Amino acid sequence: MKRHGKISMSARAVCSVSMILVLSACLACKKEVPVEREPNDSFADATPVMIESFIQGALSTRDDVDVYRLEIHSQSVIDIELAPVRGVNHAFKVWKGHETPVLMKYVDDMRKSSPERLSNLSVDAGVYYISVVFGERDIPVAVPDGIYRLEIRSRPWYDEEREPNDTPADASELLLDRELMGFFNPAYNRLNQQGENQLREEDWYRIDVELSMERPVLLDIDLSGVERVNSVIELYNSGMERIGLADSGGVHEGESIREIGITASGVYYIMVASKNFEANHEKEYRIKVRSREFDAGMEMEPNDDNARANPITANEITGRIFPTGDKDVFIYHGDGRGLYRVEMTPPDSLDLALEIASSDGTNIFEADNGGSGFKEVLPAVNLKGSFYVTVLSRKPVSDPDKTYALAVRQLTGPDEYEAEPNDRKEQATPLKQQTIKGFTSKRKDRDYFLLDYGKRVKKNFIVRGIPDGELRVSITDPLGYTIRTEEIKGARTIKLIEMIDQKGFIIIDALKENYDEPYILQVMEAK
Amino acid sequence: MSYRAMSIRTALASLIIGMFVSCGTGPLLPEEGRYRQPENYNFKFIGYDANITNPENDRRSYYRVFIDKIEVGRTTIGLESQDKYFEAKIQPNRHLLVVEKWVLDEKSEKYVKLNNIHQPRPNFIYFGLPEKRIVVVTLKNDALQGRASFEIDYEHE
Repeated sequence: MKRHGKISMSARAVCSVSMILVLSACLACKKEVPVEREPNDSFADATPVMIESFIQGALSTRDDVDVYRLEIHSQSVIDIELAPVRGVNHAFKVWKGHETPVLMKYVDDMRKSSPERLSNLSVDAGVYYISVVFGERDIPVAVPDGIYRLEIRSRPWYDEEREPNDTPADASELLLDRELMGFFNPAYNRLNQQGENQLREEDWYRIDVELSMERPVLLDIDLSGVERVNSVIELYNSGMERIGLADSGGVHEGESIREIGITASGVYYIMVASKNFEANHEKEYRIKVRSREFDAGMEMEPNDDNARANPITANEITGRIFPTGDKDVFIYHGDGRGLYRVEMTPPDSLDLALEIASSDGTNIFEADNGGSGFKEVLPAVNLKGSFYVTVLSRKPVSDPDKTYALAVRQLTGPDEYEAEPNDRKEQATPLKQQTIKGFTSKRKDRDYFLLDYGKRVKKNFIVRGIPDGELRVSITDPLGYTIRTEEIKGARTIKLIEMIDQKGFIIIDALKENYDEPYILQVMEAK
Repeated sequence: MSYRAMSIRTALASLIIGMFVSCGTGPLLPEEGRYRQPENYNFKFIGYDANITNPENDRRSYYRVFIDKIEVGRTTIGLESQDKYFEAKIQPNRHLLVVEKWVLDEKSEKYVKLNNIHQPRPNFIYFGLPEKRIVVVTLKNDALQGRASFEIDYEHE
């Protein structure tokens, strides 16, 4: 923590005195205005100031510092405002303590001719110092008649952050289900000199979560929007590992984090910041954290990657895509090889996609066939052991309220169905029985079936189409070159008689998909 | 003419005819046992192209076979220069055979029917199919001349 030593006296004290004389002369003819008492360049020489009052002063030389002493008699929140001085980039620092004052805040927006303000400094009874200095960004220039006005107001503390709460160590306590108020101010924290977000003014909160019977809970965090501010929320566990992030809203908009799963009792930290270094001293933000019991049928954030996948235990689970960029990963613990129907019904507001990866993380299937509200289905996918299912949006959209439903169901009689993936002839599903069902699993899906008889045979192919769908059925030579093609509209049935020269393929192409209903292929001896 | 002279003339004529006949290479009509008897099929079509001099032009192909204007199947698949077969069992009768040539378009990965001007010409023949015979109809298409010719035979043992 930076500590202040004695502030050196300027060599140009004469100039300072003359400026103060001029200032005093100007003010003398009017109503009496409190002014600094030079020399006040050190804590020892600090000019006393009062709450609910103002004082005027001037930075009369390039290295001038004006120190003010403030006595606080009870816990409160003070609002310190340093009025602008034309052509001057000034700043102020707030110090706490009498004997060895500790620097609490360094307020500097790094602009000329602009005011500086800290509207919600939380103070206890004691001595504080405010030092007015030149800002660091510009070369200090003492301007004639450069008089500033330093005003200090106070209000009682009531359900708001305790500024400074700029680090986890200084985090303000936040109670579950209780709203707290805070301010995006000042614009910069000049004491934040480390990490990726230097100079960012951050408000840290801590929540103590006590799990009943160690049963997991879900946390929802809501942060209201504030004019001009583009905010961000981050959630950390006690090991300071980030477990939640919300940065989907723009300027003026709030942020929310949904369904963060808490599986261990302990202290959790929330960081709130203005991403665009904008401050708003007038309008507060409001933050609230709600908790609710975890239900195995609901996702538990964070589950954005395979390592943190939520298990699907009851064949169906719901979740939210929120904030924008969120993706939810689930794991299904299958037993051996099986055929599964995976179905995801999004809310009307979202266009969501579905991906399936094997236990080693390799993506093997995906469904992204429709727009907003379109149910994505992988009707019959052949999977082995455990596998991952990911729900995501490929567009920058989210919905904090509405949920999607994900269902995973193992199909009985897997031999009755095609085995996806069979999009290429090398992956063709062998036709071992007379009848097989297949699905148009994706847009322009192609299914290959292998015919292998070891001799030249004449076969009768009967294909029943899909309601509201269109298929193209092709029969090929042993090399996979198409010999015969026929199209089917709707649930009509077609018959084809074709010679198979020992080996061949049937190809079913989806011209118009129906992801729910299967087509049926029958192959029989032809007379 | 005396009876004796008549007898001598008849004996000489019989001798000459007998000698004539005994010097022939075979019987004038097909004999039982020389031809394969029908079992699974009694009609066979073979098609091939002759005079293909550039392998680049020797495409994978097959013929679709129509008998009495009904499609009954297709031949095996092979290069145009190779024999491609089709076998069927049909009723003994006089029949009309029409064939249609299809070749592989490698670009589209499918067989396409040759344009009419490139189809074998003629692409039909009438043939009789007797009992206990396998009729083999062979189409030889001359790639250079653009002319086709049919041969009809019975399948031998």
